[in-house]
Amino acid sequence: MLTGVSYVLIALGLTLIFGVYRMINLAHGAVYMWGAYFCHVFSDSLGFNTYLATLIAMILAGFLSVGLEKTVFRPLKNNPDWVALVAGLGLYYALENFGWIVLGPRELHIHALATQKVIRFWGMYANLQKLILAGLCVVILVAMSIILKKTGVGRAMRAASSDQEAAKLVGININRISMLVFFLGGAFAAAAGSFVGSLTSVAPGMGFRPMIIAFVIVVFGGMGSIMGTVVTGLLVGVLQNILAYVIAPKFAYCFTMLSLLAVFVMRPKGLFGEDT
Amino acid sequence: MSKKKIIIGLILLAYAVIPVTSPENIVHLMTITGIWIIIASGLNLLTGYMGYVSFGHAGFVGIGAYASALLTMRLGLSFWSGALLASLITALFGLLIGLAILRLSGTYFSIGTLILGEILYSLYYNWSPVTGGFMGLNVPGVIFNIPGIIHFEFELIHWYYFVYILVFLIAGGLKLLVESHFGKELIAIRENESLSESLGVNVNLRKSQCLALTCFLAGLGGALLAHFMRHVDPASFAIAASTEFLTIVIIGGLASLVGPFFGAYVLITLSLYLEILGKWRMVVYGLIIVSIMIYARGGIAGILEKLFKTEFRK
Repeated sequence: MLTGVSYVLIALGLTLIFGVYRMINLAHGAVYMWGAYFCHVFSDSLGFNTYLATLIAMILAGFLSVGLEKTVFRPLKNNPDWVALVAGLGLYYALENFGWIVLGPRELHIHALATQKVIRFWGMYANLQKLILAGLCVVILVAMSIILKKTGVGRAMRAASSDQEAAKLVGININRISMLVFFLGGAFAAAAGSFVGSLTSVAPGMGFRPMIIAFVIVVFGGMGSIMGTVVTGLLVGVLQNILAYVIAPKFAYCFTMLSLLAVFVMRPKGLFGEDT
Repeated sequence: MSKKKIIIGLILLAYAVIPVTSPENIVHLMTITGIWIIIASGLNLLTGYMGYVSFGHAGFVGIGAYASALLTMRLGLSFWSGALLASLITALFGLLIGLAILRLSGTYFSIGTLILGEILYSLYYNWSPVTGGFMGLNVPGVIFNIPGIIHFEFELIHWYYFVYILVFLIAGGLKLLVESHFGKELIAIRENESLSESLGVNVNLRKSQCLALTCFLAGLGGALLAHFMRHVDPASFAIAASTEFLTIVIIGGLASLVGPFFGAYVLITLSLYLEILGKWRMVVYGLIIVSIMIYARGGIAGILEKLFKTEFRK
């Protein structure tokens, strides 16, 4: 389940970005990694409280993501799809390897007290940190759905994703909306990164596989649908664990990918997307 | 004799002279670059001419490499039949997988191939009894043998000439292909798939033919790489390698026959000179890709087109 929750958070950011920008941000995994690293710096090196550090990491990663949008992705708007894809991949390489330079080959850890606490309820045991992560995820999801439905900013975001030209005509500042969306995407990724980092470890290469899985989730969830993203995210997390248990841990990733590819080919519009 | 023929002749002469005059490490690099050119030319057909951007090409190269390594090691085939068979296997795989992934287009195709590349990589890495896991396989060298007449083991210089003869044969073949009706139909598919279908292009057939050809060249490149390096390991077929092939095609200039040449040499020179940067190499490399995307999307062929006002791209 934990894997599923972190996938949901990463995929949520990607969905938002895709909604407004109609592009897949391949640099997202690097933002996730850097988010985790920022959290490590603030919690372990500077001695901040873990959750405060997570919050700071979210803000920093948000700005990092906005920076990428402004310098790279905005000039590339209105080009064929693959241009932004390749540029994103280039960015990912630059950021990941910059990570290697700063972090070194060691794996770093984020210490959070909650990881050692185990909570017992209804006869089940659960790690407190995982519960907090799940809680945070729920809070973010509920907040996002309310913001998207009820507030002016949310309406502008939805307008921008359904029809950019029309949104411009009624006076919505697309650039500002894009920045907001990239900021939120970066922040959610950093939250996922921080929690995964506290439960396992922080390493420069940590972002690639979650990112790919998150893409697939975004596609299955039907590009831009939050509900779809959540359901598929959890499904994929569970699927991966079940496959690891049934077949062999070594091949779990391979089989998850294979089943995803199969669904992908059969339903490119996603499980929850509308048929057109 | 036209000017063009003289230029081509001079270039061929330069290629013939290089191994005699250059130090061994340069010849070695040139040979690897030659193999890259073969693979990238194939990818160019799919990505440049037909407009399907593949993010998992190294996976196909891996099939060729492992297939040819296993055929020669386990079944005792000679390199020649092994490599040919491996290329055909890769092409067949491309045909089969194409039934599925060619139904996707645009970004979806790219993500589909990215997933495929990950699956294949994970297979090479984890299926230890066959692929040797992360340690890889040690591949025997190549022996050139016509019974009773000639018998010698392939050394660097033989490899060099062998690879470049293949490179130029393939380049020539692709030139004929691209200028034929087939090439024009691929370009039509790139520009507008449904329109070309309604104009009588058999889109599905052309797409699978193109993918199969691309995979054939990838498999051939993989087989050459395996036997030239005398080693195959999964790291050479990770996503990073796929990116490298794509970068070669894009730096060189999409849909340009000379593009893969430019791209491969620029990349190898870059990686040589960026070696001084040490750890910063990959960072700079990534940034170069990004800036090419922003400022020079036509690649080197595009820039030369502007400079010399001739057409390198289609």
